[in-house]
Amino acid sequence: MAQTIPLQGVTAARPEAVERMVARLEQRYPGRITGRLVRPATAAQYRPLPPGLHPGLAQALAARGVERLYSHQRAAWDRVAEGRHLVIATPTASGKTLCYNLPVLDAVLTRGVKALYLFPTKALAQDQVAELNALNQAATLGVKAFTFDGDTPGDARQAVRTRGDIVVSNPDMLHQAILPHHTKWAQFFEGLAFVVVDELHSYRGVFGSHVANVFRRLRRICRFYGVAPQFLFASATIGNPAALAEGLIGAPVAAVNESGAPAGDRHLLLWNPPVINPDLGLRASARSQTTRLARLAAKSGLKTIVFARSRLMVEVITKYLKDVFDRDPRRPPRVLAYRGGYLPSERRAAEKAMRAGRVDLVVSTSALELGVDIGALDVAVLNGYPGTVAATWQRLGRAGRRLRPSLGVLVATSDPLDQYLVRHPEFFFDASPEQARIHPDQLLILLDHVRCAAFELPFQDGESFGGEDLIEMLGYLRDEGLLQHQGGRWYWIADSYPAQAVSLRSVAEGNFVVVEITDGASRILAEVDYTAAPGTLYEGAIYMVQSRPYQVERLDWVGRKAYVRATRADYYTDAIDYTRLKILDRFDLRPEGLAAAAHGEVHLVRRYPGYKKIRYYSHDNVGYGNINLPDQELHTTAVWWQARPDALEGLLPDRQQAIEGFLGAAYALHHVAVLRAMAELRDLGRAVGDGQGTWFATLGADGRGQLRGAENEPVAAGDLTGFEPTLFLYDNYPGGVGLSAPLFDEAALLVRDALDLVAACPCPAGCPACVGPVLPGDEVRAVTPKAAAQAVLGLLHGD
Amino acid sequence: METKGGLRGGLKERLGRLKGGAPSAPEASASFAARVQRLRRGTGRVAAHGGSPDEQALAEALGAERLAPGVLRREERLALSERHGAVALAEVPGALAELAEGPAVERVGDPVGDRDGWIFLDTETSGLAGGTGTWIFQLGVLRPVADGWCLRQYLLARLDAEAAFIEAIAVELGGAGLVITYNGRSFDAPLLATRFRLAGRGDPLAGVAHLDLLARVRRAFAPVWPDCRLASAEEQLLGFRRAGDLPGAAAPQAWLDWLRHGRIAPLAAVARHNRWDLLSLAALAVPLAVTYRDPSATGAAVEAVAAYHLARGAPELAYAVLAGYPSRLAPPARLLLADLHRRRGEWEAACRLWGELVERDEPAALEALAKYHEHRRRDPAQALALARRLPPGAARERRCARLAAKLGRGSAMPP
Repeated sequence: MAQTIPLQGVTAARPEAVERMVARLEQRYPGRITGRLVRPATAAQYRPLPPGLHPGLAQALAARGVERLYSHQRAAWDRVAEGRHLVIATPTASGKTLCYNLPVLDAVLTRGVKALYLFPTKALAQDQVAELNALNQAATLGVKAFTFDGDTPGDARQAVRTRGDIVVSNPDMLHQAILPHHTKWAQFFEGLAFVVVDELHSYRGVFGSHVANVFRRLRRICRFYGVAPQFLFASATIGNPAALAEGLIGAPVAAVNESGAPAGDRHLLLWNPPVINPDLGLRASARSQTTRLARLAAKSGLKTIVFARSRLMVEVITKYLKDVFDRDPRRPPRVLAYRGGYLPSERRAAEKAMRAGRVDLVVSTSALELGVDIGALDVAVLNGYPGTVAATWQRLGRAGRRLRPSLGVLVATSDPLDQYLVRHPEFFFDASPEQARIHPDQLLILLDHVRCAAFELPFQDGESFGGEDLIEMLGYLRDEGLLQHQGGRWYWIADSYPAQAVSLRSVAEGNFVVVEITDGASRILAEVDYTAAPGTLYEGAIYMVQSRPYQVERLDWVGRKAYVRATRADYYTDAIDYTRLKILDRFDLRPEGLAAAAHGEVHLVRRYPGYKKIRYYSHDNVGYGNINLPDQELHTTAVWWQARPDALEGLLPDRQQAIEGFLGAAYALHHVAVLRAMAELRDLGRAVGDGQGTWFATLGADGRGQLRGAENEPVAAGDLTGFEPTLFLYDNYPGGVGLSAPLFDEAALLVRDALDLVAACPCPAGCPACVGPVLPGDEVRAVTPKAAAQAVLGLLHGD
Repeated sequence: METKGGLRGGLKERLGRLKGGAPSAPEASASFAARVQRLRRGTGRVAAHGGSPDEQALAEALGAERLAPGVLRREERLALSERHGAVALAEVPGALAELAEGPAVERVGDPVGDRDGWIFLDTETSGLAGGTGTWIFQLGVLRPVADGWCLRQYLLARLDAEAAFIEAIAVELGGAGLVITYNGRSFDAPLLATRFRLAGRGDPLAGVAHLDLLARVRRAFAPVWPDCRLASAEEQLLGFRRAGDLPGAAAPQAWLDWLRHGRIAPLAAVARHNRWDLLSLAALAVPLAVTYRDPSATGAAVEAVAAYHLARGAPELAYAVLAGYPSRLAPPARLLLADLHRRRGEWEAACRLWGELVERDEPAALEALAKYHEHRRRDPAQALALARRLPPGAARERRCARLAAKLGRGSAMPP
């Protein structure tokens, strides 16, 4: 419907403002632009409205100025009419919504069917109901669309269940509230003809694996009520939308990929910050370049969004931009931060301000990557590669809605991944975007949902659910006292509600709440998920909300609460973590020369011993603090490399050098692996140790590699009787979500990529863009960290 | 994407590993549970499957008949003259008629049918979580019959017999005209609807009037009792104490013990508990009817009962409740009573109450009395004196200004 909504309250900059800014950047900073792409404007492809369309609906469209459809909207209609499951994967703002709204509304009007709409977040669901109601009112169609989420009051739920034609919800509600109470929804299920799933691309990894299982449960309940709804998916442009949709529902899905919507000129620049210390290969920070570009755009009158990769970076950049644009507290703010963890009311207010055009600069995490309606923007600046090609396009798509020209700038950080990309723009421009992957049969996730499904309806002998042996799983649950087998059925008999204990967003459990206790208050400021908590909410940590710093006074680990107090600290904090790994089981081994790559299961302990205090602007390290937290344990899969001890000793006789070589090699390998796996950095972890958990290597406070024992005590490398360093890349989720097996298959390729990365880096002794940060003076050492890493990688490559 | 090769071994062992327990050397072919154990922290309870349920023995212990495999029914007749605690059950129908009549809003659906269709209902369930995984394993129904009372309890003794169980209770509940429960509106009734829907049947209680006595107890006694559990109501209102009762919370375990190990005694205790619940539920109607007529007789919160009547559009009942003992009423109740007097034109009584409250500078009484002096006595000077004692604010200013103006006009008039 995007083509029909007039711009509201937005004073758009003149179209040539974007072109002028591009020209100016090219003229002033030619050395920083390493790649440039212009996607020329495209004209609209129209098709007539389908002949059988309900007259009321045609009238409603006409009332909103729609007399014909874009070609992909008509193609979607035709696929749906054939009774097929469908995925629409056209660019942002191409009118995807109408692709599913049209057939659904038509069926509701002509056949009285019901539809379930799912959005990954509540905010998107609310946007959607507003959209449906607008169309509904255009011709008084009388279709009832309701949201059903955690905010729906108890007395309204009955009406939603019995009177809603279209219920708009999210997967979490389907999982925790609808399916376990399906009898209350019996009437709705009996008429259910469509399940609409928007933002398909966000259903990957852990979340996607969970949702695939929620859909297994949904289809099972639908069979109970004698219906088989059609699934209609909408996705951002990813490489495998149909495959992902098919993985989610376990059935064939037709794809519509070609957009018939018009688009304005789109400029994309790849930006590498200038080298400021040639000896160390140090570049200016991406942050400084990003703020400069954002300032330039705002001063040209262009509405700009800045994407940062972490919540912390959002707060830091917001502060810097506010220091420029929002110095006068009496005037409404021109700069706004937006990220997960803010309270819903705060986010809604921010969205509203953005839609109304009252904000010139938005600084966001991936939270705004999804289709939250924030109105039209001209420029998107990405502070660092978001980790996936799809996320990059999605974020860039935030600029240039409708026919206006737009500019996207990807600013590289010193991360090897970013440096690799800006040095290989063709990879970025030519690559088919990422393949979103899910692993619905991940054991813990699958078992969670078998439990939920058994609660919803008894399993029968001979039934199947997922790729594992169902009878074995049911037997396990019986032995846990949850099920009883009788008369060929497996009955739930426990006094519990299993969906309550299963979060779709994690394999672990339990979010942390941040509570402000300034001046005796007790106010909930934010929520932090379990995995992020140890690294952000330790006692002494500076936690920022809208760039206002709070200090964590007390962390109640068991109660999942962090108590914070407003502070005026002129620094922020950054946690240090150590990881120790032990190999449990080796599935496979592949020798390469004097080394070998292996794949198997590992047990991992992560410890947060302390944190650094870093001063704003100067980014000096101004102190350390201790962290007292329980060790975080993880059982997962990993790929690892080892070299024969004699070969290693022959190559790098100094064990200190060998350790640094391994750490540098791990750094390079981790980054190229993420690129190959089309995963994000945090999806994989890296570690160097002996594989038995007796020692592991880490960078010490002095910047040198050092060995630590099981209790984090220093260990002298020379004292070890055997010395067999092992380099691990592990899947960073309990049980793994299927990332490490493909890495093992491509192990040789990965090592070669890493070698290329290090060899192609112009730095003399090693730098953050290849083997990690090095110390001043390292370039005069006999064996530089870079050379050590190259030696190790060469050995692992089998040279 | 499949991690074939990933996480091999039996399920148990794989899960154990994922659950992050202390790493152990994996066995070559481990069980599923061990797989789970390795993946996840915490221990899986491994239940023993001992004992096999003996339905015949259970039926004998309960004094029940077997309607179908896995479905038992126990029936008991009680004489009209039966007592439960301090209450004569013979008084129940009259009391119930009083509670269920008039503006009793806990009723939903059709008008109350004739007394033959009245049933007291209580269920025992496999838990309190709700949702489709929560079972009703026992349904107790008490109903008035010609020569007394009939108490029937249905028991589900096998999981795969639920269809027959549902069939039997559908027959029992068919034709009900009024259901009386304790917390049944939010618990028993929705759960019954769920079980009927799962069995693919209509809900026989859909549209049937429902009187939930918990709501009535809560309204009258929540301000004065520590809690409104049925056990508390029994003690306070029925003079009944259960000896050796199995707590309701233990019912799910008792049923599991039967299903898993064939233990009879705990299930027999549940049946006794359910029987007491039904008798207490019925007997409760008698002191509750008294309470809503004369709250002080049962120690109920007088103003709460009066407010209830008033909200139901029965000011005469509210008046009757309050007028008996004005001196013992708390200020809010006195204000309420004064207002009822005012509505009835009993100005003297109203003024007496307001007068007492005005001594404490009670704003509502000051305002009411000021209005009285202004409009009925036409004495703006007295009204102004009262209005000046109101708490500061715009309302006080407006009232004082108006009264002062009135007073000014009055004094300006020629004598």
